Amino acid sequence: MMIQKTDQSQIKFEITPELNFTDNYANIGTHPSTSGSDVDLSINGNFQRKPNQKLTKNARNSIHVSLNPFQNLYKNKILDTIDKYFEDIANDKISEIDVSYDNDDETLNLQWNIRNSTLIVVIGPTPGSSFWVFLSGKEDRVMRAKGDLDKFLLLIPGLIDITERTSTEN
Amino acid sequence: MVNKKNCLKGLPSKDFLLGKGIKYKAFKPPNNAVPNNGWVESSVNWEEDETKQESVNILLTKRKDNGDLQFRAGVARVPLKEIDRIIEQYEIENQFKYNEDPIEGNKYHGNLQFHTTLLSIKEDYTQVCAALARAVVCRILPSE
Repeated sequence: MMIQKTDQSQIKFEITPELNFTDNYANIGTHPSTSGSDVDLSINGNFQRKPNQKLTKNARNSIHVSLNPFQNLYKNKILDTIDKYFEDIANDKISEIDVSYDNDDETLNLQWNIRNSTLIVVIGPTPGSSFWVFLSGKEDRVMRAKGDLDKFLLLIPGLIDITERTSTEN
Repeated sequence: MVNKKNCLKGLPSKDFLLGKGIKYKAFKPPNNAVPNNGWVESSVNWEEDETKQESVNILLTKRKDNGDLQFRAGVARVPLKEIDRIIEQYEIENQFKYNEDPIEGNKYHGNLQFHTTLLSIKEDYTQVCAALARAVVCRILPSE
């Protein structure tokens, strides 16, 4: 995977057919739709920010428990990033984000359904118990990784762009 | 082997809805579910086809002990062929399956069955539950 940040509003996001997640990143399965070999995921995202729109307002207000500092930090970082890169299309493309806390395993769970894609981020009590899963397309093309949520933040613009590219499949 | 067309999943509340879609949690087995021979079950109904209302009606009219509807947010319909597709695509034949399990008053009852090896890896079963939620083709609402 190559992530090349070109400037603040444009991130080049490219996944090669030989997805090579290392360390905390793990590819799931071997079927084509998770290997990336059957889909062009090369992206040149160019997202316009429109101030004063907050797609994630409801999600921000939906947590009524005291989060640990790690969870609170990444909840805000993720929602800030989604707001930053999604505001230009928020008006006409219905999207809702749910954030909820699971008392059983002390995880913060974020699910975002946008068009025909689904993003789930689970923020555990620690980095190692955190992961994200992204499914897109008519049949599920899957990207996911475990651990490093800072890397995930860099991918959000690319994931948003994938939703645009795959939304005409159904 | 289930010789039915659709799977119906009851939705207890709006907490399981997300916009026009369904949250992945709707398909997650209860946290307190006790494994039976390594399998944890999540109840569903099976539906022969969309024209036969009985299976849907059983879920939509089911009531809790206090008289409230059990599935106030309705019933989600998933084509069985989509469940089979998910099993094949994710190569989870040994970790996820389904059965028919008729009970008194509900001959359409069955289960989605998660093996504990699948449930032991949260990102795996989250992905499976998310795929099931994405496979929902419609939600049928109770009349009240």
